[in-house]
Parts: sequence; C-alpha cells; structure tokens
Amino acid sequence: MTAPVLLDVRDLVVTYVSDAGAVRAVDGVSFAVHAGETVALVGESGCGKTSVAFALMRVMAPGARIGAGSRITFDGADLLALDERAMCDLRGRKISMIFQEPASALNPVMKVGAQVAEVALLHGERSKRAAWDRAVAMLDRTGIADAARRAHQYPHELSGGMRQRVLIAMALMMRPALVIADEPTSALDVTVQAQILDLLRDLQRETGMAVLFITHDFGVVAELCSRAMVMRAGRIVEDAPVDRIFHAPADPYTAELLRAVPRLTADR
Amino acid sequence: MRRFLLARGAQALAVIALVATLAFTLVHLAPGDPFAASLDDPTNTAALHAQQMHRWGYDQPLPVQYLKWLGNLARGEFGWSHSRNRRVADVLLETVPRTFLLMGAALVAGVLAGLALGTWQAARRGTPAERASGTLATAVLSVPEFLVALAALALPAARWHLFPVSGIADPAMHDSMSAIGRAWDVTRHLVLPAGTLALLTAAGVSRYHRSAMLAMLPEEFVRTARAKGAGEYTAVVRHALRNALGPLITIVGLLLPTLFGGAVFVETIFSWPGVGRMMVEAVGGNDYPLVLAGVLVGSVLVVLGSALADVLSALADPRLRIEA
Amino acid sequence: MKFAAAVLVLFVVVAVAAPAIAPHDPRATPQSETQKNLPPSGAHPFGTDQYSRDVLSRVIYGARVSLGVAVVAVMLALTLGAAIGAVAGYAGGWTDIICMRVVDAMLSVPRVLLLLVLVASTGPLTVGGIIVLLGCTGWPGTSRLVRGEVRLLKERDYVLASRATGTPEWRVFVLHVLPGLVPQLLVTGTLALATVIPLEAGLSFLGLGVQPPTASWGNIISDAAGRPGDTWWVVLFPGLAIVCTVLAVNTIGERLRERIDPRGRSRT
Repeated sequence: MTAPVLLDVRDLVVTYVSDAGAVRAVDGVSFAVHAGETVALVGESGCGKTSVAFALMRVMAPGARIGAGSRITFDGADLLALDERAMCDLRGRKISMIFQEPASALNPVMKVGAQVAEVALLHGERSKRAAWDRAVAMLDRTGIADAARRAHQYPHELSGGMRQRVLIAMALMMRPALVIADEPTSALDVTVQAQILDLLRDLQRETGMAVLFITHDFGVVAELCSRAMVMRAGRIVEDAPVDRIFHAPADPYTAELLRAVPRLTADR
Repeated sequence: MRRFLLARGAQALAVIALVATLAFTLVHLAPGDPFAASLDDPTNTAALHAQQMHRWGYDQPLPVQYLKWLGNLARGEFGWSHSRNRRVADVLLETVPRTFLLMGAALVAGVLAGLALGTWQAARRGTPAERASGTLATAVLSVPEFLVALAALALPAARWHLFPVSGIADPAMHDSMSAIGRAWDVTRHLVLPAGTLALLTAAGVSRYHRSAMLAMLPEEFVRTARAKGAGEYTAVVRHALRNALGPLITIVGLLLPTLFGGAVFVETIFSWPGVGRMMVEAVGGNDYPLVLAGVLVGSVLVVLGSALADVLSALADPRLRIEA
Repeated sequence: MKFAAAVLVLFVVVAVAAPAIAPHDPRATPQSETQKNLPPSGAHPFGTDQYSRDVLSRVIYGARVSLGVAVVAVMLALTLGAAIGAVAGYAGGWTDIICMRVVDAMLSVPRVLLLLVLVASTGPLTVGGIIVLLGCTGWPGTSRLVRGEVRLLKERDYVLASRATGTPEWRVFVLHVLPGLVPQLLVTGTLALATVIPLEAGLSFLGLGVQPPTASWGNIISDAAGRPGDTWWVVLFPGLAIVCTVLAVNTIGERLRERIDPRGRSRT
C-alpha cells in the first residue's frame, strides 16, 4: 500500500466494569487503516468489534475503560491523549460513524434536516440557513428523493432505508477522512441493503475517504472491501487482503466462518 | 386529533358530573343543616328556623334539591352563601381568579426551577453537588406545606420584614395607588405564598425530571449526537431534554391536585383570599352552597388542567401528532 | 435505610411508651400565668404553649395520635382499595367501568378538598372518625393498582388451574393472586404513610382534624400559628417530628420499591 497510514491502533484493550466483575471485550487488538482504504472488521456477535469502534470514537458506555497500554494514533495525533474538546472537534469532522439501528440512532422529536444540519453547526457553520441548505444537499446526495420536503419530516415518517441514508448523510457532511460504519445494513431488507452498499461504494470513490466496515456479513466484505480483519473473542486472528481471505484463509476460525455462509451452489 | 380532543373533553365532563353528584350527596347527608349554628341564638325560634329552611329549599326531598341545584348550575346560579350573605357566584368570581394567580405563579416558577434543577442534576450526575441537591429536594418534599408556609412566615417576613405576610393588597394604601402601583402591591404580596408553593413544586418536578433525563441519556440518539461532535452540554440539553419534556407535561398535570391542596394551606396561613381559604371558612361556618361550589371549582380546575396537559403532551410529541 | 428504620422505630417506641416517658400530663393546664409560653428550659425541654402545657409531653403523646391515625388509616385504605380493585378486576363489565369512573372522580378532586367536604358533612370528629375519613379517601390509588394486577393475573395458568379444580373465586384470589400483590402493597402503603401523616397534621392544624385537648402534632402547631416567630418552639419541635418521620418513611418506601421493582416487573 502506498497510501499513508491514517489510523494506527496498537494493543487496544477495552474492559467493561460492572457489579458482576470485569470483562475484557477487546483483548490487545492492533491494526492500521490507510487513507482511502476500505477495511472490514469481521466477526460474530459479541466478538468485540463494536467495542473497538466505540473506543476509536471514544463514545463508550459509562462502564467501559480503555487499557493503559493502548495506543491509537489518528492522522499523526495521539487520540487517547486528546482532551474532550479536541475530541469533540474531531468527531463528525475528521472521524465519523454510521450506526446500526437507524430507528433508535435518530432523535425522535427532531426533524431529520435539523439533525443533519447540526453536524455543520457543530463544526463552524454560523448560519442556520446555510447549514440547512447543506443538509438538504447532502440528503439529496445520499439518494433521498424530494430531499427538501423530506428534511422537514421526523424519523418515524421515513422508511428504514431512508433513515439509514439520513445517518449516512450525517456521517459524511464534513467529508471526514475516516468513516466507521457499524453494521450499516443489518437492520435493513435485502433489496435496500444492496442500494445502501452501492451508495456507500459511490460515496467512497467520490470522496476518497477511508472506511472501516464493521460487519458479520461476508457478502458485504466481498462487495466493498479491499482488506479484511477477522476478529474472535476480542482478538484479531487474521488480517489480509480480501482475495486471500476468501480463497486461502490462514486461520482455521476464518475458514469456519466462511463455511458458515449459506451458498446457493451445492458444492462443499 | 379532533377525535382525541372530543373524547378527552367528554371524559372530563363525565368526571366533573360524577364529582358534583358525589359532593352534593355527601354534603346533604350531613346531620344538621346550614342554620343549625344559629339555633343557639335566643332570637331564633323554631318557626323562624323552619321559615329559613323553606325559603332556601332545604326542606324539599333530596332528589328535588339535587335537580334544582343542577338546573341552577346550568344557569350559572350557584346559590346563596349564608355565612357571607352574598351570592355564591359573586364569591367565586372574587376568589377564583386569586387562586388562579397564586397557583399559576407557583406553577410557572416551580416548573421552571424544577426543570433547570433536574437537567443540571442529570448533566452532573454522580458528583457530590448533585447528590447533595437530591437529598435536599427529598428533604424539602418531606416537610408538609403548612410548615413550609409557617417557616416562610416566621423567618423572612417577621424577622426581616422583606415581604408582606398577609392578604393580597395593602389594606390602607391599595386603592389610592396607580394601576402599576396596585399591580406591584399585589405582586409583593404574592411572593411569599407563591414562593412557598413554588419551592415544593420545584422539588417534586426536579425529582421526576431528573429520572426522566437519566432515562434518556443512555438512549442511542444521544450517542449519535456525541459522535457528531456534540459536547456534553449540547447532547444533554438539546437532545435528551427535548425528549424528556413530554413526560414532564404529564407530570405537571398529575401534580395539580397536590398543588391545589397545598394552596388551601398556604392561602389560610398567608390570608390570601382565594378559593382554598374560602373553603376552610365555609366548612367552619356550615355554609353548604359555598362548600359545594368550592369542591366543584377545585375539581374542574384539576380535570381541565390534566386534560390540557394530555393535549399539550400529544402536541409535543410528533410521533403522536400524526396518529391522532 | 438502616438509619431511617431506626428513626422510625424510635418514634414508634416513644409513641407506645408515652405514658411512661412523658414528664408531664399533656393536658395539664396549671393555672399559673407564669407558665405560659416559656421557651425551652431544663424543666420544659420543649417549652410550654399558650395554655401552659408542656410541649415535650404533648409531642410524645402526639406521636401516639399522629402515627396511630396514619397507620390505621393507611391499612384501612389498602384493604378497601384491594377489595374494590379485586372486585372490579374480577367482575369486569359494568361493575368495572363504574368502579373505575368513581376512582377517576375521586382522584380528580384534590384530597384536601374531599376531606374538607366530608368534615363539613360530619362536623368535628373523634380520632376514630378521622381514621375512617382518611382511610375512605385514600383507597382509589390502591384499587387501580390492584385492579390492574388482577386483570393481568386472572388469565395466568396457575389461576386457571385453580379455578378448574372448582375452587371458589375468592379463595383463588386470596391464595394465588393476593400473595403476588403483597410486595407492591407494602410499598404503596409505606409511601402512603408519608402522605397521610402530613395530611392529618394539616387537617388538625386547620382545626378540622384531631380536636384539642387531645394532642396531635398538627394541632400543637396551630396554637402558635398566629406568631410563629415568637413562640417558635411550639412550631419547631412537632414540626421536626413530622419531618423526621416522613423522611424516614419515604426513605424506607423508596428502598423497598427499588428492591421489589426490578424483580417484580419481569412479566411478558
């Protein structure tokens, strides 16, 4: 890869502390993401991949702790050393996130246009009018028909696919360098899934952003990603270009996961 | 929406009708009658007593009295107050606005204060300051209203003479003041009684609101806001608060009966001439029509208030607006 | 919690042991003028009131009245509420509708007003009369609760099984439904105490509750209502007693509610 390293993660440890004891959801994970790359973080539910995502953005649940030896470097800066204000500046502008459940990730009592516009307003846009216009343009870019009218609607008035497009619009408003997509299609119908994936591919080509795809679906990996990291029980067991993973998986767990994908053809 | 309003309105009317009937029955089942007290008066003979009973229709059978009363109510005729020697309707016209003023002021101040406190507590959860304020709120709620009123009476007023402690206006000067002067006079008199009620309302509202806010904070959309780069303040106030306002309106509706109960004590202690104080005096004077009117006013207030709260709550939540 | 319970127990003990520990007869009014309105001193730790009565003794005996009235009234209200709620829940149909409308009506009237109307009907009351009054105005809340539970539990398997064996309805209720309600009723009852104690005090304060010379915390205070600043001890000590008991009861009630709620709410 000739592109520069954008995100560098070393020995990331995330522990959840509760009354029942401490659980290491992420147990020493290291990887790098280069500028413009589309990388997948694959694994079964509960393997810790979402915890990695939240740790990167530092939006973890109250009981979560990042281990002392962990290092996260983004665009040259030590992410874990930043204070909250600096972090808020980064979030939404340089690194953003697309969430899994569009129904609950959107504020039910706020118009969708306002929610998208808020990103601009949080990052320097002074005029509410201008922020709104930019939001409508973004909604249009993510494929929402009649965006100007839709922007005045509330989340419950939109379909699942449209809500996901709203989330994508929010994430891409400020043209971030890195987008973390947390299972963006899991909550959607199959046909809508395909549309969303196409959209993401187009946007990625257009903006040149790096995408970290969190998923359990190998179909998504095959469609969009150039590289895949397989995660199991808090650790990365394999990290290789997608071609190699599919044809010659090095780790037995990866092979098992691949075997578990239902196939239309009868072989194997 | 219209169907919802109609249904709610009909329900409110039914409840008021039921309350009216219950109240009427209770009052008239009482032993004795409105004129029993005056029997001690040596000039009051049995004949005179019978005459008075007849004049006011108290010697009629109960169902007849009930129907007559209902008919009168429909015409806006509430009867005659024996203890004050005036039409009940006139007494109500005087006292009800004053109680409205008192409760209104207390409600506005109390809800705003409680809202601010509850939001602050949610944003600063876990800190010693927040915990202390929570304990303080619970402590305030454990003090009966009349004690808070007495304390307000004793301390700032009597010792420090900051605000007037009784009545609604300065008896000597009020009439000679300008319009602004009179408004200011009433306001000065309003401070202590309304302040007492507002304090209790704020404590109650802050407790509910804090819980509502804390329930909102783990919600996913708050996380989304943070992922967009919103700071703690924006995430809490802009996002969580908006969602917690709906339940708040409902809570305020539920607090109305308690507020009115508190008003009864506060009005008595501060001699604020509203419906509450009128009720207490009417009970003491066996003035049935006045007592009945007071109960009706109280429950109409509460029923209308909670119906209003329901409607506002539906308006506030866009999810309900479409369906209704 | 422990502290609150201890405080409550202390008050109960004081109430029960009143004749033994009160230094003076609470009704004694020595004719001497010099005994009136004395501030706290060695002879009268809580001072005397305007009738030369020892306030400490009155507060101690007042504990009997105020606590006794509250406890019995709450028990009455719980019983009435449970009975009516059960009948409404089981019978359904018109009985249910009528009962619940009455409940709605009673809950729409501020309780103080309701009490005032009743007192207007009956005239000055004995302590027993006040208990009945408070109990008869406090049942609506409980009845709603019980009705809701009964309607839920009515269709549960173990209830149906019991009925199938020919057990009469009331036995089914007492043996199967009621035990499930007990924790909830306990919490409701405790929190109701926190409402009734100030209510009785308030009524007595207005002269419409417990009549002097019988001491209740409320009517002790009313003696000094005219000039609370001058004879502050007549207001402060009974007032403190009320606040302490209410605070203690509230704390216990809240803790109880926390304990039973997470467990009890696990229904489909």
